[in-house]
Amino acid sequence: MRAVARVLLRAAARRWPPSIRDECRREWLAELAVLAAARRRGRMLRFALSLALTRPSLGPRPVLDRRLAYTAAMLLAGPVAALGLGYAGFLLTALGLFGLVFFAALLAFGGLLTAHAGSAGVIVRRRLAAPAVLLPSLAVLLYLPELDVAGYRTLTRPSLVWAGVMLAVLVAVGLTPRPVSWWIGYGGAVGAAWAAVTGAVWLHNGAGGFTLDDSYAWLWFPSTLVELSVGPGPAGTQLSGQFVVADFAEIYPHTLLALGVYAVAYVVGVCEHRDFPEPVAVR
Amino acid sequence: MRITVPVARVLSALLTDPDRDRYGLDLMDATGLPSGTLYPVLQRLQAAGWVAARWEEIDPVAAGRPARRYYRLTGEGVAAARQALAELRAQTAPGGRRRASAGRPRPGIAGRGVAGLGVAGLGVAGSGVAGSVG
Repeated sequence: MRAVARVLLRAAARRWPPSIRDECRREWLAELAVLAAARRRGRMLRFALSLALTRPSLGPRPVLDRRLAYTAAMLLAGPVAALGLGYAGFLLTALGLFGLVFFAALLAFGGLLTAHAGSAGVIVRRRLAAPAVLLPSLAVLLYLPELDVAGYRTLTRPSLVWAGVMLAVLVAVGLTPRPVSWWIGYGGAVGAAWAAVTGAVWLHNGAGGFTLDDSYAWLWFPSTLVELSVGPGPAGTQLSGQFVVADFAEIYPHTLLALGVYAVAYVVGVCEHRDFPEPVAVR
Repeated sequence: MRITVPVARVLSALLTDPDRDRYGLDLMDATGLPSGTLYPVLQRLQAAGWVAARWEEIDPVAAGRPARRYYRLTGEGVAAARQALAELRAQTAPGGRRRASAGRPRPGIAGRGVAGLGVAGLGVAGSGVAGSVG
């Protein structure tokens, strides 16, 4: 029981300001020793639990709390914004507008993120930035039912391929100075999305009542983005003789591209602002 | 210094004998406050200069226990605490700025010795009782 109480007190002490932390712990341990000598085990536990569960309000909260909230907001809002951008890009393409609008929006999105990603965040190491930015994106890809490639709704493996390629790309981005990092990042984002869409077509299992021609799988990604519908269509359908993919690929390619740009821009932004001053209290 | 119910209880306990050193468990017994409430209050009172703390001067081996930390009101703290509790009493008394009957009854407080110090209004004022003094 005393060991449990000591662990709880150690955890409680971490929530107090560093300047008085050791003194507080010493004081509490002294009281704990008195209770232990009196064999008041229940009170020992209550004493330690109360301190461990209560957040001491000793004045203004440090800036770190704000930065933590800002970081969490950026990491959660980023994939949502990327998803919206991907959907808008899909609509633009489907409406017959040239995809340049989408690409311009992607570049603007990336630039905006780079300017703000690291300036008020707490993630200061590129090693942390890559997984931190990829995990919410991967969650969006795996759990959003609207993402679809020709009725193939199980996009787990292609999305994992995308995340793996993006992880390698982001590590390379973090190790490379600008402007080379941009080329590597955006090129890598296109490559990762291309690989995932190609994989999704390959893995298509006849869902939707037709079989896709694997030999054209690699053309789906660029064809979707620029609305080029040429080549043979899915075998056994009235679309034979054409290469129609945009209507089947849905928003998966656009979303992958937007998420990739978001991840690259975030990591570039974090790497540029990794020298933060120590947190200070604000009034 | 914001005078909340826990702060008032601690001040009342310390004012019962301003020249006596008090330690954490002792104050917990006197106020009925859990450790997670008491120690932050003591820290705030120290930061405001109302309470001074010092380590007990003993030989831990001979005493068979570690040295405790003692708390006592400072000269400024005694005056400020008396004024704060008096203002709180005035606020919570019938006809005061905050009516005592407005809050939910808290039967535990009066039994903890606060009423005996003339802050009986706290016993029925509820957790909303707070004021700023000093």
